[in-house]
Amino acid sequence: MIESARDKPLADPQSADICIIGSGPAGLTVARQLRASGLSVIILESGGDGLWPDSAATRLNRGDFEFRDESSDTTLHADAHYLTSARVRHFGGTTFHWTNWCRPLDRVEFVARPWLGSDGWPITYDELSPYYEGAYEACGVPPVAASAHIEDACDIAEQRTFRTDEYRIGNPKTKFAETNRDWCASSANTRVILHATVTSLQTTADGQSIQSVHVSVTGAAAQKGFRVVAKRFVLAAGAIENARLLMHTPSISSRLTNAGRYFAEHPHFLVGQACLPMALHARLAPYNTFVQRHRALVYTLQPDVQAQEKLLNIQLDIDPLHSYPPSPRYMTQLMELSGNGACPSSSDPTTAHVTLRYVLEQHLNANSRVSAGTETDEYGHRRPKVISYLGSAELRSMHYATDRLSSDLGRNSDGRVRNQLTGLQRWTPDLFKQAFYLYGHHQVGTTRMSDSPSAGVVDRNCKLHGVNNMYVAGASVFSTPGHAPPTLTLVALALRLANHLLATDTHLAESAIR
Amino acid sequence: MMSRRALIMALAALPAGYVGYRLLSSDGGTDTFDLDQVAARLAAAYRAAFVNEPGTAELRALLWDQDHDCPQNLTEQTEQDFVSARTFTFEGWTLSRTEGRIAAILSA
Repeated sequence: MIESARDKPLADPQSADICIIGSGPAGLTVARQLRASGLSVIILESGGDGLWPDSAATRLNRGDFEFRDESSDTTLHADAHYLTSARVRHFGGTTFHWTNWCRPLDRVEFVARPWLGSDGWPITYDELSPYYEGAYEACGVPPVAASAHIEDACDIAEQRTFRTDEYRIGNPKTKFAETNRDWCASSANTRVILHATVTSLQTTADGQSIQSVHVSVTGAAAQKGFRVVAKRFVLAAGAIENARLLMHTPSISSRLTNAGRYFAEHPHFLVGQACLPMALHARLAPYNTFVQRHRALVYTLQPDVQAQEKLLNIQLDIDPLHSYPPSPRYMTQLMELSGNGACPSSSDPTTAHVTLRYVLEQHLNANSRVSAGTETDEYGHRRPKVISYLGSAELRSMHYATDRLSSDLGRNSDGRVRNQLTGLQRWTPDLFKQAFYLYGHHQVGTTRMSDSPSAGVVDRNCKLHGVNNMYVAGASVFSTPGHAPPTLTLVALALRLANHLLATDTHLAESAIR
Repeated sequence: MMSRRALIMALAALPAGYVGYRLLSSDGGTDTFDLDQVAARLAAAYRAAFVNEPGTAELRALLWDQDHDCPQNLTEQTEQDFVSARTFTFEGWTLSRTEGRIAAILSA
């Protein structure tokens, strides 16, 4: 059933076998997998389920966000609106406004890459891989099959520096609210409580178990609320709120000192242009990321190249310019890039102009983190302040990829490349302003998965280290951020978590024995 | 020796010609006058990158295939430049040394 905490006062406490905090793609996926088990589940959603996100819930998203240069610790870009616009407190979570681009993480992201400060994931790609099939289905896109035809289409890939990869794009967009509302509404053992903002976690005296969560009615006075008591809890409120709730709980935050750390965002940078022969351009055009409705082609550096050169796993998009009318902001950037104020779209029938755009995997930095800001929210908690560091690894990876693209194209007479960042070896506000294109609008990290609490927050089963009955679902558990949009992977992880919850439930185990 | 016309055509056909043209031309035309300007700008960048390059006559000779008494295959030569990292930067664009040599001859 779906109900609102605003409609009538709920008795204190409410109880369930499992309490899920957050009804985004992670929380709903866990709940959906549990629905046939007979376990009682309460899903707490801070927002509502109307046409638009609830204004009181949206106000709770306020906070400060900035990118900083790692070497000088100076601000490159600050944005007081990012956290409000990038997150959605609503039934279905951020799938309310997502673009539905789906791609698994790469194998290389799961293994240790010491040059990036990454010890990899405690699980292998192959352990997660079986869950991607269900994740594709939940996200409403067909799985990516072997894409040899794309390899054939792109001479650039033949030089062994880059490999091609493919995104699946849901069209029309899959909104988890739409795909989960009916079963939630009719379920006998799953309750969705809307306008229910979790404001604190109550632990046992030794801090090793969660006894209950305190829920405030969104938009009402802070004291108006109730508790939810459960055997187990799943924190699925997004990377920022997952971290905040843990950080607000002294008995947990004192032990899990990595809560809130290793944040990453996937910023996009427009670093240059290329001119390509029309024949190559024509082969790329079907994969134009601006016009393609169901799939898109991107380039990544070959794993052995990354290892050899100690680079990040960044993504390169080559976007033909004159196949589609881009946004005014995009056009403005292009005109600045052209250097003479003119849009560089080509009228030459033999040569095409394209832009080079990178989606960054950010290097792991414990200081890229969620911390407490200066202002307080409606419940007296300090609003989040999020700092994301960019370092030399990001610049070096973009330089290397651009230079190799130039070399690979040049040696085949396939065009020339212009690197707008040539010679720039460190981040400055001017460089950032020149090259920044858009946010990834992804929040990754903050409750990192690791076998050791000294390097993470949750273990390989997504359970909080040192806490018996609380699990985390969502992109906050990613051990490395990668560059791919996180939804497909977080859904795969949620499916895996649900299986674990079912396999380890004592009540179900006793029933099975009986 | 390669004629001036042949060099102009070569430059226009190579990506450097297009790159320079796009940077310098705003009217969409491809007349000789524009290519002269392109060549001058390219040549300046090239000479700055390779300060020990020989004079124009020697550069012309380098573009001529003495064995077969015909122009070098300039496309192949530019490809080899990228293989061997014989490149220079022109307003952010990475161009081949051969392209720079053509421009240097034309602008002399």
